[in-house]
Amino acid sequence: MSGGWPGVHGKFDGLGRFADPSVLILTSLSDGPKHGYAIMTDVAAFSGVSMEPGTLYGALSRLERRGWVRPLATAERRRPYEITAAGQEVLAGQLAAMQQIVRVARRRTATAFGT
Amino acid sequence: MTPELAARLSRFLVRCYPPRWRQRYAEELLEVLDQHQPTARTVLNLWAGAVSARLDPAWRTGRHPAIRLRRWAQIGARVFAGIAAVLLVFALGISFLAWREEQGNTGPPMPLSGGIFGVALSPDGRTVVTINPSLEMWDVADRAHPRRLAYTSGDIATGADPAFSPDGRVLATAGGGGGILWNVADPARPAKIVDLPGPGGVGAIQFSPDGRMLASSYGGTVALWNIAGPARATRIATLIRQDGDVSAVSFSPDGHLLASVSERGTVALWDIADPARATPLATLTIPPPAWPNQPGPDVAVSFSPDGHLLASASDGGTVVLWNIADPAHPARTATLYAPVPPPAPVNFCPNAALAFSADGHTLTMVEDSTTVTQWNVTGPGAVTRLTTSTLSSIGAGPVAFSADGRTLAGARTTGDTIALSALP
Repeated sequence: MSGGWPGVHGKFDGLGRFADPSVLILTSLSDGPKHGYAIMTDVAAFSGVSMEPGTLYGALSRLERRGWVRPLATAERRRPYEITAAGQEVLAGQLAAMQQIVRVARRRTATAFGT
Repeated sequence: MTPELAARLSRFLVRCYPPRWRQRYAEELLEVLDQHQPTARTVLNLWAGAVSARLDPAWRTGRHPAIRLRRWAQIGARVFAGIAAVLLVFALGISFLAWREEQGNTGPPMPLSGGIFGVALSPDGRTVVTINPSLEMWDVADRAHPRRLAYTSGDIATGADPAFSPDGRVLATAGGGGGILWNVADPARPAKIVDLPGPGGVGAIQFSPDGRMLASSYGGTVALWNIAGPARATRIATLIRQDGDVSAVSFSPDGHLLASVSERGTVALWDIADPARATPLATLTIPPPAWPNQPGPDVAVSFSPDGHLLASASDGGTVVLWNIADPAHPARTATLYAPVPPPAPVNFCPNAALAFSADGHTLTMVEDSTTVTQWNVTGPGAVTRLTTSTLSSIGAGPVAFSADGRTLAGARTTGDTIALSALP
């Protein structure tokens, strides 16, 4: 966790993941190519999720295999990745689905708790 | 978990990813690990990642199935070899322990002053073997100062006096089933050649004069062995005649006759000119003992050098001379009694020993290790007692004559050594 706010997981830890590492990585790459460690710090900064290197590279290898991210030329042992058009499409689809979930969740919690 | 350990484990786990995955990502992953501060969670996470990458078919090495099969066969073979090696080590360990147990007493031999179970002098008179009950070899080139050369770690069965082969290179002892042959070409290193098969309880063992045959007895049975090649000893014949346990056997000088004496005092005479078809010639009965209250039994038997006389000794000090010029019809020529009652039994086993002098003129009997009586047996019917003396140097237990019948060997009365005593 980074910062003083609960982040995506926070107290939800142990009950499952709300945001898949793939979505976090694709989101991180949406504003430009980044190498592995930069993705980790970026994800931690915007979501509070401290992603371990094993998780990061597990997800990266799957994303690359599906053609959603693309490796760029290595610079001093660091290889930047960029999101592909197909990756942007998938991320958009995921975000739409999450947005739908958020919308329904807000409506239902408002009904239930009167907020 | 310390950061150093976590970092080291993390780098190790990177090597656990599939080879193709490593080719592609290992370098950048290591770079990220350098910047990251690995914790226990990092390690766990990498381990899970490695496992899932290993399970992912996409990262499986695209090798030919036959090559993969061979690789698995190699791994299987290694695992199998490992298990087999562990089992082998266990089996060897257990065998070793069993062997140690079988060897029994591995410490130094018992002191000889307590008595010995058997003794023999080598034909050249330079070596004495004692059964104590370990097998011990003595250098007696200097008769006044016997020197212990070797002793076996295990105990030898004690039923019979040991015997040297005529060339002195092989030793026969009780033990095993039907006796044990030892290579004693180097007396300092007696080496077992073979255990002769048999039911055990060997009571007498002796070589034939030409050294090609061995007689060993167990119970009332005498087995004849061809030992021309000692390691490949084969049984030639089994002689069953005796009314009691055979505790002495002797070959005639020409090797054509075998005499066996039972503890009940009967002497069986066998024609073994053709050993495979050994035939009984006669059974001789020794008269009741002269000193009937002496404990027995122990017996001895000996042929005269010309093979015409057979002397038998039984407990109680009775010596009988038989004329066996016609072996099928032995004639008792003299019954000799030891002149004094044998001393009270101080030994754990009574012992008698008989020997003719090389010229055949003198018969010597040793009773209970201490009383030596000699007779002149030059002419049948003209047997005269020459001397009776008491040995002082030789103590409890059996005694053995030298090949020429002029020296006796046995345990020394005091101290942990043997003694040799010249006869008159």
